[in-house]
Order: sequence, then C-alpha cells, then structure tokens
Amino acid sequence: MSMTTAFSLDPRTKLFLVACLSSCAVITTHWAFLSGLWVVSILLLLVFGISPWDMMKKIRLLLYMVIFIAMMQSIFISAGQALITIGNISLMTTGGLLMAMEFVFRMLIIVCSAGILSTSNSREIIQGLIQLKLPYELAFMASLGIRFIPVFAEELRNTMTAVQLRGIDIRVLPWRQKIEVMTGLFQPVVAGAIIKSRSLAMSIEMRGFRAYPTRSSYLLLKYERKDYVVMICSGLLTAILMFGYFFWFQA
Amino acid sequence: MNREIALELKNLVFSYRPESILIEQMNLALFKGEAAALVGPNGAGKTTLGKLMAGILKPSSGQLIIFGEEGKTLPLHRIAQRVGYCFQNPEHQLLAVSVEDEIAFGLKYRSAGQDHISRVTESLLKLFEIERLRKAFPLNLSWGEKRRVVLAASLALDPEFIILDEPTNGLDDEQIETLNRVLGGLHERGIGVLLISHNQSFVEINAQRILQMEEGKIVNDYCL
Ligand SMILES: Nc1ncnc2c1ncn2[C@@H]1O[C@H](COP(=O)(O)OP(=O)(O)OP(=O)(O)O)[C@@H](O)[C@H]1O
Ligand SMILES: [Mg+2]
Repeated sequence: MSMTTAFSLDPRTKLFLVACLSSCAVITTHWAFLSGLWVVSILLLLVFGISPWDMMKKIRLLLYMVIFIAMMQSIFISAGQALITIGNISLMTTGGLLMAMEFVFRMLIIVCSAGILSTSNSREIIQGLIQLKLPYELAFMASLGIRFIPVFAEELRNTMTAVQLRGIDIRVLPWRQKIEVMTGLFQPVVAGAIIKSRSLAMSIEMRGFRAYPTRSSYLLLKYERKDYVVMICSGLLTAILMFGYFFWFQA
Repeated sequence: MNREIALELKNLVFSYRPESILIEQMNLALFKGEAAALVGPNGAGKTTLGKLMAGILKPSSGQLIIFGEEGKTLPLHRIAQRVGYCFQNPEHQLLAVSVEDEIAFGLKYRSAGQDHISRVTESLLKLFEIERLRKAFPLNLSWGEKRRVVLAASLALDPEFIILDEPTNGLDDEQIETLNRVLGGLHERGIGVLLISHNQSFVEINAQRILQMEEGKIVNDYCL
C-alpha cells in the first residue's frame, strides 16, 4: 500500500503514460510485440497497486470475442493454414487466430491503461485535462461519460431482470430470436439514455453551468520531480520501441 | 376462502450490505387468491420485501417457497410465469417499441400462438383503456399510461399471483378507479395480489389483509 501512495503521480503523468501505452498498442500489429506490451502493462498495474488478476477476471467476456472474431476472420479471409474445416469451409485458420489474438491483446492493453487512470479520481483527471489546456466543457463531458458507465451497467441489469420478469429465458431462445430480443432492447435502452441525458443537461444548466466565461478552480495540480522522470522515461521508451518495431518487424 | 399457501418466507434474512441487516428472520405466508396490502413508512423495506417475494432479490439466508417449490432453485423467468411483479418505477420495465408489442412481448417469445397473442393483447388494451395508444412508443407515454402498460404486460402472462409496488403512484382519481376495477376482476378470477401502497383508501377498497412494516419487520398483520 505504501508503494501506491509513494506512486501518487500527477494525473497528467498518468495520462501521458496511458497515451504512450495505447498508441503503441494501436500502431503495432504484430502479436508477439503486442503480447510483450501487455506484459509491460500488467507490470505497470502492479506498480500502481492494482490487482491484474481482478482486472482480467472482469473481462472474461473478451475470450468469447476472440473465438468469434477468429472464426469470422478465418471464414472470410482464410489466411494461413486451416486448423478446423467443415467441407471446404475453413472454420479456423492460423491467420484468423493471429488476427484475433492481436485484437485481444490490444483490448487487454487498453483495459490495463484504463486501470491505471482509475487510480486518480475523476475530479483530478478533469483538472489534469484542463491544465493541459483542454476546454473545460470537453473535460467535463469526458468525466460525465466515465461517471455514466456504472449507471449504464445498472440499467442493463435492470433491463435483463425486466426481460426475465416477462417469463423469458434469453439463454434458451433460438439464435434468431435471441438477436431479435437484443436488438429490440437496444432501442428503448438508448432512448432511455437520451431522455435521461436531456434532463441532466437541463439540470446542469439550471445550476448555472457556463454562467461565467472563466472558471476558477480550488484544486491545482503541480508536477513533481518523479512526474518528469516518469514522463521522460516512458516517452523515450515508447520512441525506442516504435523505432525497434518498425526496424525489426516491418523489415 | 382458499387457504392454500402461494408464497411463503421462512426465517428469511436479507441485507444489501453485509454490515447492516435489513430484514431479519422473517416468517410470512401469502395465500392463493388473497388480496393483501403491505404498508409502512418510506424506507421500511417494503420494496425490498416485494422483490424478495418475486424472486428478484435472493435472500441472504432462509427460504422463499413459491407454490410449494423452493425459490432458490427456480430461475427468475420460471417464477415470473406464476408470480407477476411491477416495479415502483414503470420505466424500468418498458422493453418494446410500441404499446402492443410491449403487451405481447412475454407471450411472443414463449411460442404462444398468434391467435392467442392477439386475443390477449386486444382484451388487455381494452381493459386498461389504452387502445388508442397501441402504436405509441412506451417511453413517451405519460406516467399513468406507462403504469397501465406495464401492468397489462404483466397480466398478459396470466400469473397466479401479482405484486404491485405503489401502483397508484401518479395516477389520477379516474385511473385509480380503473385500477380498482381491474383488481376486482383479478380477485374474482382467484388471482392473489400484494399491493405495496401508501394510499389508505385504495388499500381499504382492494385488500382484505394488511401487513404493516417498520424497519424491516412486520409489526402488524390483520384482516379488514
Ligand atoms: N440497492 C440498494 N442498495 C443498498 N441499499 C438499498 C438498496 N435499495 C434499498 N436500500 C435501502 O433499504 C432500505 C429499504 O428500502 P426499500 O426501498 O425497500 O423501502 P420502501 O419501504 O420500499 O420505501 P418507499 O416507501 O420509499 O418505497 C432503505 O433504507 C434503502 O436505503
Ligand atoms: Mg418502495
């Protein structure tokens, strides 16, 4: 725990770190490189005092995605060797599997980055964004988006309960109907969200949001030496990695 | 009156958070065809008790017995075929893009015949006087209309018992009158109801048994 407090970096430093990590993840396409990057992000999580195990448990669903994407890629692109075939359709190819793995590693890295950010509260992150000269309105919107994730999750749970209360077991429905129910639910859930955000916007305005041209802030962030160290190191490392990647993997 | 038990709680304990127990060692039986009302101050745990009886919340310990079956082993969609439940907030239960789809929703995915579905839907639209709203988008309706649609959708499944959380909330006198008529009809058909309500006269008209709840306990249980 003392490790975590010792590592209470400025939220801007964390943002920088996350930006480095996720741009590496987005730019590169080789699964081996990506898996290495994933190991790095796991180590970072440990440094920030977050359990990577809990984090990974939360995203088990991704595993199903891999299989699904791997199949899709295999059927339509069919690169590499066929691993599983039915007739002359290849259900699983090495190429498809690699594509899926790349996708998953990328997602894992981005999830880990989000984990790093979650060690600052949203107020600090907004302040960080503002001091990075991002307009307050944008920063505020970003933080609202984050705040609404648990609300959405709750909403989704409510909706699933409501479906079961109509005596429906979505798991046993045939696929066609399953998709029909899910797409059917999409509309009211989205409409509900829009209605809610409209009243939220109104209540924000009624509290005088943007009544004055500039906003003062009680919380002021200051960089410390460790922030500079971390930023310089991660920036350099990213540059080296990118250079190495294009040199070795693309050649 | 038929004295067979519909829903029963045995030594039920429930808490939202481990450090504070909301309902402690509750024993309660609701009978088939019975019209009961659950009353009590805000925060007494009425909604919580209603959700427990409908199987939406799971007890921390103790048992819920639903028509003789152990509630723990029954998935919610199975319970819902016999026990209906309407949330305090009707918006949590609107799932479809039109009022008629909303009412037909539960039947459609349980392979009911088309004839049966349209017959049930029509009669419910008529019963709740919402025929003119059949094509409307449920989330755009007025509060009272939403309530009626949700109740109609629950009744479409033909439950044997139904739990209504504050059904008169936001209804005008005329709508309460309609609701009284519907509840009278349910009673005649032998369908049990548990009404969670703050509305004294509504309770007196529709319930024969009053359960008074305070701080997670039934402090009074009597017949009118
Ligand atoms: N999801 C939840 N998580 C934690 N606590 C909750 C939750 N839902 C309700 N509670 C708490 O449980 C207690 C009982 O709530 P409940 O909604 O059952 O009361 P109620 O009798 O229905 O009140 P009302 O008349 O206002 O509807 C309250 O103190 C409430 O704060
Ligand atoms: Mg309540």
